[in-house]
Amino acid sequence: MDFNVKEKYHLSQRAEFFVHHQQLDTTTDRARFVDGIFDRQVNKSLFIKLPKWNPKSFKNKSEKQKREIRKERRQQAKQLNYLWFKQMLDSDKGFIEKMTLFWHGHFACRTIDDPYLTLEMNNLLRNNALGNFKTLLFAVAKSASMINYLHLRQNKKGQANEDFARELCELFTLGRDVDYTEKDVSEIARAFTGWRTDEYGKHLVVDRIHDNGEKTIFGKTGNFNGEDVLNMLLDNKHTSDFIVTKVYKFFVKEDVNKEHIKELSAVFYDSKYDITSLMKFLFNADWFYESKGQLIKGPIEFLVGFGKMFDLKYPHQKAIQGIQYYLGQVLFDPPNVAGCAGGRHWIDASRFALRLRLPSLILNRGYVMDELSPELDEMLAKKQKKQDFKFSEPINWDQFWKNNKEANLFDLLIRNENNQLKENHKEVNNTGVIHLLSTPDFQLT
Amino acid sequence: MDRREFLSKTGIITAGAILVPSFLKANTFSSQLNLSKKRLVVIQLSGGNDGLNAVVPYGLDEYYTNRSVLGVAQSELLKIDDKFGFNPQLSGLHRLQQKGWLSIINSVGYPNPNRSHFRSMDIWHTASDSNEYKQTGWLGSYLDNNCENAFEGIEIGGSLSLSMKGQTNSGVALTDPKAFYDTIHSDFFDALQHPNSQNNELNFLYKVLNDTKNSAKYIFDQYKLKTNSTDYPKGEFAKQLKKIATLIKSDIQAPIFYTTLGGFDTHVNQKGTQDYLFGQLDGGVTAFVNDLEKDDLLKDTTILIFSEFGRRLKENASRGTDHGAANALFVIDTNLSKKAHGYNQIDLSDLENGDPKFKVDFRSVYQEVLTSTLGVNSQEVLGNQYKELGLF
Repeated sequence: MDFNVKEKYHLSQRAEFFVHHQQLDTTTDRARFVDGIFDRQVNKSLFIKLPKWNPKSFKNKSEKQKREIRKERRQQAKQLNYLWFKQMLDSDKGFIEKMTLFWHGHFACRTIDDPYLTLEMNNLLRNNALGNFKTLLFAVAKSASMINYLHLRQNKKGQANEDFARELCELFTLGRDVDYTEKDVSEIARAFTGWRTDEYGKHLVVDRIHDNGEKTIFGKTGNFNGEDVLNMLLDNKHTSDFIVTKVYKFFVKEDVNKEHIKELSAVFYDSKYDITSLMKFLFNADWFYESKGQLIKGPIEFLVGFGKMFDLKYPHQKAIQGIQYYLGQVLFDPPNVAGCAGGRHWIDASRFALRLRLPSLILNRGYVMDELSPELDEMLAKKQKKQDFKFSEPINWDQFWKNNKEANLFDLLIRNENNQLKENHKEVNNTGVIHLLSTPDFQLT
Repeated sequence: MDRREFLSKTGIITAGAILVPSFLKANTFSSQLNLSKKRLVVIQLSGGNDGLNAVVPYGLDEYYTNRSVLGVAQSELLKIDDKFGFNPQLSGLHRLQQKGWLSIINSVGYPNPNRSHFRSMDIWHTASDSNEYKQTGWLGSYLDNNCENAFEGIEIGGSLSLSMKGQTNSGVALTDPKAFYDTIHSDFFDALQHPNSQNNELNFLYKVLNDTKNSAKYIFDQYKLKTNSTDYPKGEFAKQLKKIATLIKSDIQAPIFYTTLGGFDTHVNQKGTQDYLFGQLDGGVTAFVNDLEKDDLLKDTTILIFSEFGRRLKENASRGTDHGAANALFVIDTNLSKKAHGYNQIDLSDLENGDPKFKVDFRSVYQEVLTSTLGVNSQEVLGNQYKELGLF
């Protein structure tokens, strides 16, 4: 069966945010097309210049010095946010960044007050984004970020702190209340006592505070340590089920089909948690293509996809961060360890209004139609003066048309079959494109 | 007078349909008119308000021994009883309390307190346990069960609080009714037609579109009805409350309003910041209460003022205070019971990690306003039954 252009749009927009029509691989072989996406990814770590990490940087500092450190860190955190956002726009990194975004939601870690940790975690996620989940889980558990964030530092023999143990089971592996008990959580916490990092952020186990006693975890008794627990969790097929369900909700649709989960989980578990195998299987499944138009774009997907469409540079750092905030997803700043809830949770009246207006605000000074009321024009002009809403980037429409010259614009931009809308947009000009981008339909992928 | 008639007379619902263009009427507003008993105004103090310096336990030695720099002298306090006094910046709240219109509920919190702003605020917003992650807010759950339009929960602010986010229905956040209306007002948006698709997500989005357009228009139309010439003090917070008052006066059919005053995270040089913020809070709330009372609307209003946590009893070395746990919160209502004035209690001799222990679960307070102010089955919203306080 030929792999048709609508299927290509579907796959490339789900996997890589957006790809111009003229840049799509011309092969009509689905497996080859899928492989092409994997082959073209360039893994580039984020980097900004930071002073050497000092876990005790606030020790013996005056209030004034502390304030200055905090201020500097806030600046660096903003810089990192912008850097990652911009990297998602690169054409040779779309899929790897999308996967990194997925893991960023899965291993949600709020270390925004320490850019060093933010950077460490992000690069760790990217380096393993298409690698092996076991390696990824071990690396995250041993990272200074997670050790700090989930209070492993406070987890000592005789004084266990269960924060990490609980989230490890609930959010990172098995899923809430699946196959573990409160007793397991307490015992798992004991197994992770003494997990720390040294002054370079490298993982170590401090013997003196590690609980060497016998523990009973998942019905087995032994002198288990943290690594044993991670292996036990990975041996449990529920971990595989839980991870593939999250992948499914992120890449396919919120309404989970149990048969599809079974297929995915079998592939994932049998491949010993190879993420590339999982994703290639997913992108080659017929049912993946039946899900088109059924997923509500997250704010970052929305902004990046739109940016790639018009080759935007988003030169106004403050504006793009303000928009992330108003749309409800700020990179590196998840609401809590559970990450953002996706799907319909992205949408409320205020955010929805902004989403509908945003493309016209960026492309056309707010004009959805050719003509606008004088008041609204004045309001928008005023709004654009404010730094927060400054979108004065020139739009290269010629390039847009050149990049997509052989495309049916409706099919390229809109993933679902809305016959009425399609009927009204058989042939479109710039205004027609703005119209399509200003619809509820465009919120879906 | 039956309940509906009573409600309509008190302005909570208006008889007949809201004036909307006829083409919008068909599938616009819920046929079920909102039957909330009264309206709820929630004021969130972000950053962790220092309840110990708002409602000062001057009768307890531990207060002054732990707050040698920041403790407010007894002579300056506005006395409540032989143990407590209001911070002098909170004279308006003090007057309300003396009238019997303000209840101080002290030592409010939850088991295993979390001292992170974000996490603790989430817990307050979702009414969850401290080790539980919920994606919908407590007011959102109320909206899910009882409302169908976004305008039924109005937050004056840049983005919608988790409190106000439900599963199927969420409130709306706006800084200004006109700006919000302008954002979604366009002939193009008006002409978009519901596709009645097989695709549930698409249908959902068109439903939200319809709701957003109508809510924006309805709120703006109501907002324009009356000019509110009441004077409010300077500052953004008072302005937000004035917008809420203006909407309430328009008979808008919204049972919930929400707004935030931020900046309470006073780790350093607390006094100046605190005095300023208490002044903003007190001035704004006083003007708001007077404004509603003038139009006889206060009797149908409950105001809840809360923060994500209190602050440590012992002040720190920077003339500030660090994150604490249990805290004082305020409920303003002209119809409080006698019992409502018996919850200002605190024990400073029995601390947990340096913080007073919680005595009242915050969800008990939610339960009270859900039951008495909003008139719904609180268990459907909160999922659990909490201890009754009998505030009303």
